[in-house]
Amino acid sequence: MQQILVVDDSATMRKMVMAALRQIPNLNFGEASNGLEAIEQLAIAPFDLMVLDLNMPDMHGLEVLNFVLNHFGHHQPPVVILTTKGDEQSKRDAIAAGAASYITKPFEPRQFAQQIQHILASA
Amino acid sequence: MPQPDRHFFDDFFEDYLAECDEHLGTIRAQLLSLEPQIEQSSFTAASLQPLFRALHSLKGLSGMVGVQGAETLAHALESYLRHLRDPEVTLTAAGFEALIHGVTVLDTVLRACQRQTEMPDLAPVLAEIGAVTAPLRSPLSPLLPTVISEAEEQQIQAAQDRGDRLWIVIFTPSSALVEAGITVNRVRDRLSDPGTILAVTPQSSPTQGVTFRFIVAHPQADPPPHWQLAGVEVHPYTAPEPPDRAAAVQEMTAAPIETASSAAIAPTLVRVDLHKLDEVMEQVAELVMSRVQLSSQIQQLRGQVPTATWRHLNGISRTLEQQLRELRTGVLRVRLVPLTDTFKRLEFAARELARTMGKAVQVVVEGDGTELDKVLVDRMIDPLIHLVRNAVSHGIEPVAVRRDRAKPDRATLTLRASTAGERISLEIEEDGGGIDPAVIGARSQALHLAPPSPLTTDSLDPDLLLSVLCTPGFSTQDQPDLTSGRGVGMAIVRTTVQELGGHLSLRSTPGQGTCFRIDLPLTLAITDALIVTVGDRSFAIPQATLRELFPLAPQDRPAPTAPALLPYRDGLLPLVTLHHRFHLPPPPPDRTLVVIVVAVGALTLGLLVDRVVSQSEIVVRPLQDPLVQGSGISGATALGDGTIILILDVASLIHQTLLTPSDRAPAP
Repeated sequence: MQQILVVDDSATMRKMVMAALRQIPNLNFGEASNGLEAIEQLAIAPFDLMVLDLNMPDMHGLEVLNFVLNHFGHHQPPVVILTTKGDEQSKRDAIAAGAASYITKPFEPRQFAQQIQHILASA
Repeated sequence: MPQPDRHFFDDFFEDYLAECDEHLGTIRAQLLSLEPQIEQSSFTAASLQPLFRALHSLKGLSGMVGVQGAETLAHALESYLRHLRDPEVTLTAAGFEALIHGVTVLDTVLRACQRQTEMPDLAPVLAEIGAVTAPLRSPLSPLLPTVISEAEEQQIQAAQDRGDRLWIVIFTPSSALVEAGITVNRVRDRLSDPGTILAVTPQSSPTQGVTFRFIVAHPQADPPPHWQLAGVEVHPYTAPEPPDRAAAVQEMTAAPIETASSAAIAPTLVRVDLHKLDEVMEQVAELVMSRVQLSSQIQQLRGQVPTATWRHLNGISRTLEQQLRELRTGVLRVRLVPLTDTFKRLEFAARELARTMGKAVQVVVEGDGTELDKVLVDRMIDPLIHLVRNAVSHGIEPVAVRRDRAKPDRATLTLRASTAGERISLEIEEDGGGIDPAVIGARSQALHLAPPSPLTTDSLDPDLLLSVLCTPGFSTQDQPDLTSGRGVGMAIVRTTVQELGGHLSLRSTPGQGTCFRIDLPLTLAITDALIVTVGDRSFAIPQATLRELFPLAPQDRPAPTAPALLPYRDGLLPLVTLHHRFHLPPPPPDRTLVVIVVAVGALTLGLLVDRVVSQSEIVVRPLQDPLVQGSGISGATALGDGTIILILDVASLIHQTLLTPSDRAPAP
């Protein structure tokens, strides 16, 4: 079983992401509605991949990304940024900071699942 | 990027609409709070953040479910807000208007989508938003919270100036704590009530792993005991260490907490599908029915079983009744939602319309914490918006007219809610011109709508007036406009209110203003009622409408056919003989009957019945058939012995009797 952490302040969006990823066999999901909660979850249990939204209250996704990359060392999972389209600057920032991939909403569920599967396989 | 396979996310459509509703609530509230900042240089980009994020989330979700209209519109609004972040840019009146208009259309789009009706044309509003956005220079790079340590320092300074004590709270999460329900979210909620979180930073060290460092302000000398949770350490805040920017960046401090949004997902809240609650309510209703049957059987056993056994059985039945009542109240409470959001929507609609019509309106809200069944709230929102729009467009006079009448330029629109027992009343009141019966009467004749009886200038019977206003096809506008004038609104308002077992009434003083009042039951499903017999039939009278009962001797009984008035207290009580009303055999002339006094609002009526049988909890089965609507019957219910009886629609009986005593109006 591989563990996926889905971080988004929208509960509906988290459900959609998980529904799309259920096409991949043997996945388990953790959910977080904000950056602090995501960091807490990563601190207490290992995850194989994190799907991370950018625009969230309290802590911006890029801050979460930076913290995760700086503080979890080699335990850090690949981070896939999943954000609403139209933020080219943040795309450059995220990739430069070390995100494994940058995917925009709306996403096509099958294609999204394939991309995630690919990242999981190569990690 | 290809459009998503729409059907894949079909299952989430309800979730989508519910979440959009929440975002729209935030957007409206935030937008209203921006109004004082129009043309102000003190405008801060940070104050846009919650608004921006709500629009952004709504846009993202709309894209996922393929509601392109909402996606496009949210994008346009968001884009304008992005420009506004530039400190050189001020929010203009035109810009604010474009935002308000945009959000109003966004609401319409989502509603159309929910009801699968035609989408509004987006071109005009997109052009309006485009026109205010275009002159601004290209937006700054996407938002990242501004340099955090500065904001943090300001917050700390402000808290110290207020005289608050500052604390450093360190929380070290662990899997054991999470299992015990102690999470960073829970700690944050505890610290913000009571207390104000100024900043929170995740930190990590090789020895301790990840910790969260909160800076919290609290007015008292000691930290509240409430903060003491496992894994939490509280230390007094010490003077700031010399700022080490490099280290600060390394530590990745987070933005100051926005109190409004920190409740995004409070761990103690569960979102429940309303249908599931309906099912639970249905189960409770079934239970109540079974209990009533059980109790009825137990009553019949009396004398047939040993007294001690019977008492014991009866005792259990009584306990069961009490427990069921508590269960019912519990389920009902779950279904109740405060009217806060609804009133915000009404306020928003009123301000938006006032702005377009060039009227000055101040909105006063009273009792917006009053709670009402979610289903009723959803059904009432359109009628309420209609009444509010009418109040602004027809009720409130243009500024010039108000000046002539020596009234303040700024009109007052009051939205009021209150509860009494199991009923709630909603009022929409303005200090406008009032309704002129002569105008309404003339208009009604011009439209060839036969009024129930002539309206004259000097007689102002509010119920009569209301009845004309609610006649389908009645409108004071020659040309329908966007806001009103199609002549269907008031008819729908009254029908909806009646369908929900409520009552609409009107109070208007020419020159001084108008108030529409809606009385509604707090919930629909189960209620207490008095069971009475009329001839060979039984009827249920909802307890909420009861005032008192008294016997009526045969010699005092008026003729059953004529509308009658009985001396009652200091005045006269209109009396309806239910035998006659429902075409049942008349009562024997020598029998003492019972008068049941019922009231809705200030209107009181006597109902003449043969006798009162019992008081019982009844499960209301509404009768939706249009043939039954307005007939004086609101639904049916089953008694303990399985007999089906009809429930009196007291509001409509009162309305019909007091409105047209001799010539009963047809169903509206």
